[in-house]
Amino acid sequence: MSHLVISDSMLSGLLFLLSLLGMIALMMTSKRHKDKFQHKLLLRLNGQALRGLGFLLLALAFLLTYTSDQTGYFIVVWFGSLTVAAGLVYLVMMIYEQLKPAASQ
Amino acid sequence: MSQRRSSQKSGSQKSSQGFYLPSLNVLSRIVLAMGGGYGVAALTNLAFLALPMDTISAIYWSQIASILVYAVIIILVFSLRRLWLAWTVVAGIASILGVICYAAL
Amino acid sequence: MSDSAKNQTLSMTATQTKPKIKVKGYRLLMTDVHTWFGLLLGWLLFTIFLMGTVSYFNNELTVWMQPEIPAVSQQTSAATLPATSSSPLQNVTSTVDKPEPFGMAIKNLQATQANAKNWFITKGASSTSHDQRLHITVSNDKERQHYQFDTQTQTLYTPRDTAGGNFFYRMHFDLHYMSVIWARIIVGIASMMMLIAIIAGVIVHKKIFTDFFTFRWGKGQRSWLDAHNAFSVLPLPFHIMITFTGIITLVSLYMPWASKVSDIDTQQFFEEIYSYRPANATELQPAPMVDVTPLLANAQADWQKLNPHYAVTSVSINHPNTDHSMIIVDGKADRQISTIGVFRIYDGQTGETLKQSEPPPLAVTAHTVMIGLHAGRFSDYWLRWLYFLLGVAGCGMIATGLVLWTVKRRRQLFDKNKPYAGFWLVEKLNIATLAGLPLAMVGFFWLNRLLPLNMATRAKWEVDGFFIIWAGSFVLTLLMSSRLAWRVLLSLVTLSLLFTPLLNSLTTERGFFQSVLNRDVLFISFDVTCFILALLFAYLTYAATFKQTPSKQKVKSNARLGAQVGNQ
Repeated sequence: MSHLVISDSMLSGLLFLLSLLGMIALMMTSKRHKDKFQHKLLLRLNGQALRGLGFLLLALAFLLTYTSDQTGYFIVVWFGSLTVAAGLVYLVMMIYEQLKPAASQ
Repeated sequence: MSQRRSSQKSGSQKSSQGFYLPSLNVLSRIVLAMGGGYGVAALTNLAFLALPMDTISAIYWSQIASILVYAVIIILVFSLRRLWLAWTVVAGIASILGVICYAAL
Repeated sequence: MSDSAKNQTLSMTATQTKPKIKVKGYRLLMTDVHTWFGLLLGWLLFTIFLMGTVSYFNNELTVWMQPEIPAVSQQTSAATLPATSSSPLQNVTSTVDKPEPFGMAIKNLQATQANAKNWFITKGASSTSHDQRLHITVSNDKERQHYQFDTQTQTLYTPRDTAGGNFFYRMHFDLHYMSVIWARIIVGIASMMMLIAIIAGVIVHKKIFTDFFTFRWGKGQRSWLDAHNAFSVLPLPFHIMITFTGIITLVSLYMPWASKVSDIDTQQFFEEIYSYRPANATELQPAPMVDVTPLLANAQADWQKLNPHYAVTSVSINHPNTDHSMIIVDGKADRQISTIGVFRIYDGQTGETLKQSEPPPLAVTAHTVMIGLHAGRFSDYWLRWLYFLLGVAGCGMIATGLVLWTVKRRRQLFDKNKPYAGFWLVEKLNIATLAGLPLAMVGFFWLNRLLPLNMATRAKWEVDGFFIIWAGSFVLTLLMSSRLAWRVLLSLVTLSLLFTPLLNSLTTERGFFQSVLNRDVLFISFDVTCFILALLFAYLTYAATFKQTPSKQKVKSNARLGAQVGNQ
């Protein structure tokens, strides 16, 4: 891993992408939203596996911070990505529910 | 059962004007949490000097630890159901720390 | 006895029922703990949080408040390419990675201020994109003068007398109009209460993770609670971190016992860790000073052997051009979180190295990393905006919490027009703080533009004006009905925000169109932000006018935007 040369912006971008995917996975297993996705998933992942996948992606992002020699800084970026990703998913779902009130019930 | 419920309640009653008057139980806990908690935190701060590390490190670690201890004590004081137990626990911890401090300094 | 009987009859749910009774009572208790620990100093906490949030951009605000100092043009700074900056995210070309600019500044000072007591030269914050600008403070016996030095044009600029963004920064922990020690103790108590409120909040919100992506729109009190949760739960790690590290930053005031009792020579310890040396030599004889630039280059090169990210960040020269002159060079690593860097002290006459700092013990590093996490100065552009956004969420958390308290209890009032004293007090404080404080902040910026430049104690009057406006909001709130007070204050905030860019273009040469032509990102951002905030406050005022009770949107936005006022 230490031979991997990722530029700083790529690393930040990757951290965010992984966080976003992880949060989406976690959201899809949350009590409120899981019914929306039951029939739409291509892979028949059940709730637990999907949740595990979500956490795995977040953990993977964390491990990725060690590829930089400014690890401490990127751990902060990792925390930030988690928050932004969670916030983004939250906002999108909120807007989605607003636009489709019948579907959300 | 109602006895248990009332002792589990926050212990405040509405007066005729709608003020929340904290009961003696709650007032006692507040005093214990804020005052006793600070005392235990201060003793933690001192007790670290007894540890086998250089003085500077002891001071700095103890400062961090004392804030954690303070927070834990406050939560503890409000979590223990029986008031006398809360006082006893805090007094007990303080005594142990006091002995450590006395021995070390 | 009856309890155990009850548990035996409810066989299937026995394990759930028994702890449920206990837990339910416990959660109720913790709810009260959360409410009271949050409410009692909630308005102080909102102020602290808002001031702190704004302070992430305190250097930028200071730049905005000193418009006569010309902007660093993007074109001229692009001519010198960065030496070490590797991230394209940084919109700054870093010319101060080489020590020559410091040398230039010193040459300039030699010509103009040769006999000062102390020259202090530091890089501006990288986020202000003024790396080709150095900030200079010249101290004499009587006074201290601040300048900015442009290394491209070799000009020394003198800004107007203003506290700048640092007023907000100081108010964040020193409050104002009171002794600094008492202010910090009060802030410490409030922060401790906030920490407990957060912990109690987590305990209460037992479905904190299952409810994580939930928000119920437009359902009155339920929506308030959801808004409060959104601002609290999503950025929870941030809130815990900020509150805890905030206390740790001032912990040596709160827990001085160990260092009092131990036999540490604090003076000696400070000299090991910090580079500050007082300039208090007497009987000075003039003597030539060595050329500083090679010394800086030397120090930087040595440091970069340890860590290639190190660079010189500031130079302080005590008693320049005398036989007691001392050159103190500070360095920090790029993106280093800890607030302590390396330093080296040279003798000014001979260039001999008097001291090279050693790495501090781990405990000290842990402490300074916490301070660094709190202050966020290490962060570059994007991360700093994130800090700011999360700070705004924190303000929103406190604001929605405070309003939730009144919304919840308004339903329980016997007579809605004659609430009990506690309710009345909370509601009035809510209006005066949540709407009045943003108004005072915008007013602060207006005063910066409107007060005459040559006014005596100008900076002090800007600050006093801030408090006068805030006090005025209090008076207004007391005189009017609550609903009217909300509307009036929110309208005032809206209008003043809307007209701030106009005021700027009328009173300075850095108006919006000028800034676009100069590609002055800072000034453009400030105007754009004012405009956006004005629009949002306009929406809030409209919502306050036509709706009976404040909607979730109103206070959610009010909170978020009230916190965003005064930022670029």
